[in-house]
Amino acid sequence: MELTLAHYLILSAVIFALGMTGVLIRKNLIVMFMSLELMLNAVNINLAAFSNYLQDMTGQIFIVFVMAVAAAEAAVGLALIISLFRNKQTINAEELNIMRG
Amino acid sequence: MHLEVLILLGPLVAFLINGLFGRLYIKNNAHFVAIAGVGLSWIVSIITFFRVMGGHSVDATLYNWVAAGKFNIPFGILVDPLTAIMLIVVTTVSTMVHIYSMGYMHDDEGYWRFFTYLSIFTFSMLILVMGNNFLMLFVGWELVGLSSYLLIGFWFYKKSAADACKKAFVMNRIGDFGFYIGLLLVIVTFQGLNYSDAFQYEAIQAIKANTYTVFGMQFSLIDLMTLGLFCGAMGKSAQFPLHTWLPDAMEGPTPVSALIHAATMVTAGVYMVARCNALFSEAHITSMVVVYVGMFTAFLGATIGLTQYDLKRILAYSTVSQLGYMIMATGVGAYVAGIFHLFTHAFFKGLLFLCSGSVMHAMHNDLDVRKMGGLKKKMPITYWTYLVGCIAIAGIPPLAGFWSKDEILAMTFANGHMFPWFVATVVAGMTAFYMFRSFFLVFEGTPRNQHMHDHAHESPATMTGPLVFLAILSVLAGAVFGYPLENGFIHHFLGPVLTPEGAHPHHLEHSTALMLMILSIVVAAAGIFISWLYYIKVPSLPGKTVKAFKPVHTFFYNKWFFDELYDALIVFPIVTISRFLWRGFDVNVIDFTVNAFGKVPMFIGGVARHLQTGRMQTYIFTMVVGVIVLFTIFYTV
Amino acid sequence: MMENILSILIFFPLVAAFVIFLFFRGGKTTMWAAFIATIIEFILTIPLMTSFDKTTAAMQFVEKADWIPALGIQYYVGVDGISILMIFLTTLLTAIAVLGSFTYIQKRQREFYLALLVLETGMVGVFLALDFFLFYIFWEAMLIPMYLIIGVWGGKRRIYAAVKFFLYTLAGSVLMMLAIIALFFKHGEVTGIYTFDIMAITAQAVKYTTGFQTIIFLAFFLGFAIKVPMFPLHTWLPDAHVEAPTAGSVILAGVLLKMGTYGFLRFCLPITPAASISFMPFVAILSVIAIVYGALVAMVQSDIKKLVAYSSVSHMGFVTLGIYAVNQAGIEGGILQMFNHGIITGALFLLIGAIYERTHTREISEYGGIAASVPLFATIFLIFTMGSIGLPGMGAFIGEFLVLVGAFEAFSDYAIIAASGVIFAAVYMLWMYQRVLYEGLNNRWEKLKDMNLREIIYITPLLIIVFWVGVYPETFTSYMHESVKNLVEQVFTAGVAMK
Repeated sequence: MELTLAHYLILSAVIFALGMTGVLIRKNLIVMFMSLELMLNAVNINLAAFSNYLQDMTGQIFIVFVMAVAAAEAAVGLALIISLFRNKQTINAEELNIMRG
Repeated sequence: MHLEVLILLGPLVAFLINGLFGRLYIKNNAHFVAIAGVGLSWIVSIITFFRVMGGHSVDATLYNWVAAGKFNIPFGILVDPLTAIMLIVVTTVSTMVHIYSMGYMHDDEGYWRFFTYLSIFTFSMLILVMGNNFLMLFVGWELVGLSSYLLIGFWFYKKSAADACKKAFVMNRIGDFGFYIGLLLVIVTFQGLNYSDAFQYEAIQAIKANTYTVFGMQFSLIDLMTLGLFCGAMGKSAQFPLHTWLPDAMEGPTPVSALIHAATMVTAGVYMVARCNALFSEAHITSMVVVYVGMFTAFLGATIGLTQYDLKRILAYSTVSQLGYMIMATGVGAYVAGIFHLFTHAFFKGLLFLCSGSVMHAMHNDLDVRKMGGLKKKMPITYWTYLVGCIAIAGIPPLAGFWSKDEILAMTFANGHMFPWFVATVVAGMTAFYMFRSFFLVFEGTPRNQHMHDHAHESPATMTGPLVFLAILSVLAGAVFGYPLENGFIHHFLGPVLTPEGAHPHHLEHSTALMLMILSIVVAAAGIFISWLYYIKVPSLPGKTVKAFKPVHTFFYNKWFFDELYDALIVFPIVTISRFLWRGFDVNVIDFTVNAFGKVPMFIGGVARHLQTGRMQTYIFTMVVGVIVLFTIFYTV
Repeated sequence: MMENILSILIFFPLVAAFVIFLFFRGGKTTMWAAFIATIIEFILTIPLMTSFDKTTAAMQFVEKADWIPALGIQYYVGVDGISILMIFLTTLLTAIAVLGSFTYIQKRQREFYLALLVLETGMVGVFLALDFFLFYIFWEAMLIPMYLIIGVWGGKRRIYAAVKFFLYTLAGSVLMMLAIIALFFKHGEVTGIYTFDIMAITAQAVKYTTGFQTIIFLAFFLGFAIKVPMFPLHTWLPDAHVEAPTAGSVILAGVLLKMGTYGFLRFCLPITPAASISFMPFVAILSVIAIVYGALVAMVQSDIKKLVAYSSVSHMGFVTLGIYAVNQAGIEGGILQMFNHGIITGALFLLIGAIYERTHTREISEYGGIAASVPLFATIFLIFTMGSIGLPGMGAFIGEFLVLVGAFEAFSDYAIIAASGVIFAAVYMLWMYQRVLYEGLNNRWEKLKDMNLREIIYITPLLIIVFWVGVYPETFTSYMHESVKNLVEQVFTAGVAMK
């Protein structure tokens, strides 16, 4: 069986869905964060697959961008989480609701 | 530059100097400055008087004051016989009061302030009589109101004084409101405010029949105009129903009462009506109003004067009453008689007030006549001068009051106002009675309060000097100016300016005039006699009379309950309405509406806030659902 | 320099504010720097006053440059007989307000003076702008520093007052903006030229239909009536005044309120003449209500500042009454009264501020008999009290008189009711004066200090002016004769042509 574009897309869709589910249902901020990374990487797979399929490098260039942003985000995000934990002694997303109207 | 400008400048400069430097530098030497100022005015006034006798007159614009479009109102002065007479009255009494005040106010800590106020008053009063247009008149009018406010409230820490000065100003303002309307009518009718525009016979004849619509009602223009102006006179000259401020004004220092509230300021209304004789003589309804207001005020003042115990209040009510006479005279068209009475009254009433000040000085500021008595020996000069004043005001010839008062009575009679004439004659008797009542109670008989009596003493020369001078004037002024009756010097002097064109003065037959004269002397003498009977011969009579007429006495003694009436009918409702407008309307209606505008978005926000749960997973979930919904829509459509 | 004088006047305070922002850090030097800046600004108006040509109604010292040509927006400023007195008043009062704040403002001093200077730019700009866009920018820009002055340096309820002030005025200016945009398109439609040039838009007034004019008039009217403030849109004023610091009250009463009436003169009357004429009685009724209502409500106030605030409602009623009499006497009286009210009420607020600094109360009932301990203060306060009452010899009398003469010609019944204001003014002012300064010696105030040199210095110019206007008003009215005459003609020729 040959790997077609469809396979990649299905894989990426599955990973994206897993990531999204994680973000939506997990309470731990770090896990949510990891799920977010999962979503980004699902997109990356998508981009790589299309790049290969269309024989166009643009997609791969974008992957580099996405990875750079993801790295930056991880750095900033984790820093925020740490300072949140220091202040609130929790990283439970349910309890961080001071923005409630 | 006219010489007469100096009359104005004297007090003005004195005011400025004392006002700017008095507190820190001049202090107890303020009288030098003030007297120099008013003295200059006095001298120039006398010179002016003689020049006017020689036919001199001035109607000059000093500079253009208020200009807008077609109106151009100058700052100008007018000197004619009427002004000249008023100048003499104002500067003479003012000078005397200045000198008197040196003694009277001697120990007061506001010494410089007092003289500053006197100067500004004199200046204002001179503006009032010297202006050549209505606006200048109004300026003087308001400025004397200010000076009066300052001087009544001179001892401002007393609540009674603070109340009185405010009351005086506000009462005057009510009159001024009418004056203002009159002024506006004059300006739209004659397209100017100069006397020379407004008093032209042709111009007045041309508008005589015009009507004016106010609030949908038609009025005769000239009556409306003069009624408005007369409202001002009612305020300033303390005529019913605006008379209540004058007795309260006695809270001021006594020299002030003499100068402002007896001799000069309060007569401004009379001056104004006389000045506008060309208008008033054509306004028949107003003339009737003037006559009856004057008559009623004369009566009102006399009835209250009968019952008071405070020496200054007695004099104040007698002033109210005498002002009623003058106003009545102008109402019947006897302008010369009105001004003549103003002239003589200024001297004898000024004298009487200064005497009361002298008594006050001796009695340590107690003015209750029931505590006095027998001061004759202690204060001979005051005694004699007060007696002169009393005879003068009672109308016994040949003293000043007789000539002018008799003339008013005669002219009222001659012009066919029988009822006013009758009332005025009765009032003349009452005047004689209550003036001598005060005289007997204060100076004759035995001391009722030995302690106070022991400390009584005659006043210093600075005070008795003016008394003597004014007493001499009170004796002479009437006969010199008013003899022979209706044909004296003053009639020839003032006649040309105070006889309206087209007027038909009534003259009495000689015999009738003589009859009236004798009648008025008899009435006055009767008043004096009864007074003597009551207070010297049978001292128990007053008590019995009071008992017999208890309700009437209470009514008179409480000043006809006017103050209470005004409080209940005017002050209380206005304050209540104002409170309602503020709390009820401003806060509860307008602000409520305004806040409601704010409340609506607040309410919507209050509902919408519940969407913000603060949980980011809810937000993400909503977003995902939103994306899915949007995708679905875009792919199906 | 004279050809750019107006731009200098507008932007000098802003530059000064910037310099202070960069180089000063609060304290005495900052105060003095701000004071010197405002004094220079005031001195700059003097050559403007002296070289102003009184014989023409045209705009003078005009500066005109394209700004955003695509939208017909220009930088266009000029001064005429109506605005010149307002410029004088603004620069004078700002300088005095700065001097009056030296001891009053204790926190965030630098920011306070920055706000005042920026405010000055806004105010001067409003009076000078001849382009609607420019005008609107200044109009809105002015709100912000005033909002801050009330909201940061105000009293206890300052936030409420500041927000109320801001929202009220903003509501009005939104409508005004709509009217401006409508005029922009209407003018384009009529002439083919799309421009925000006020003079050009005014010149085409005859071509706007009565229905259109009515809508524009109402939009403008509401915006300006809030600013004046006219009954029943006045309730922001007492709150704003009570909470604002002294300088804020002075500027608010002295200058900001005048912008409403200035707007009537500059926009409502000439741009919508037909509508203005048909609304004359309506405005007159509102003015008369304001006069009587303001006076009655002032009478029962217990806070001195609130009393003066309500008296402003009453006095500004005279101004609007005069303006909407639409005749020479009325409008000149109105403008003069704007000027006088600025001087007199400004002075009253300064004096109240001075005594508040000593006693920390504004409740009338807590005072009493202080005239004995502060004689100089009592005298000066009395002078301005009397000025406010409209005593002859002082400015307000002339203004009121002209207004009443003008109003009496146009609608005598209203003028009569308005004249009753002279009684009420005496009642509430003197009653207040009596309870504060006369009557009884309250031991608490025995040691009260009289006015110091700084206070004497800032009150003196106002004293001089108030008497100057009263004794020789021609100095001030001569500026406006031609402009007002031209305005009245403009309104009537346009108004008549419409019919």
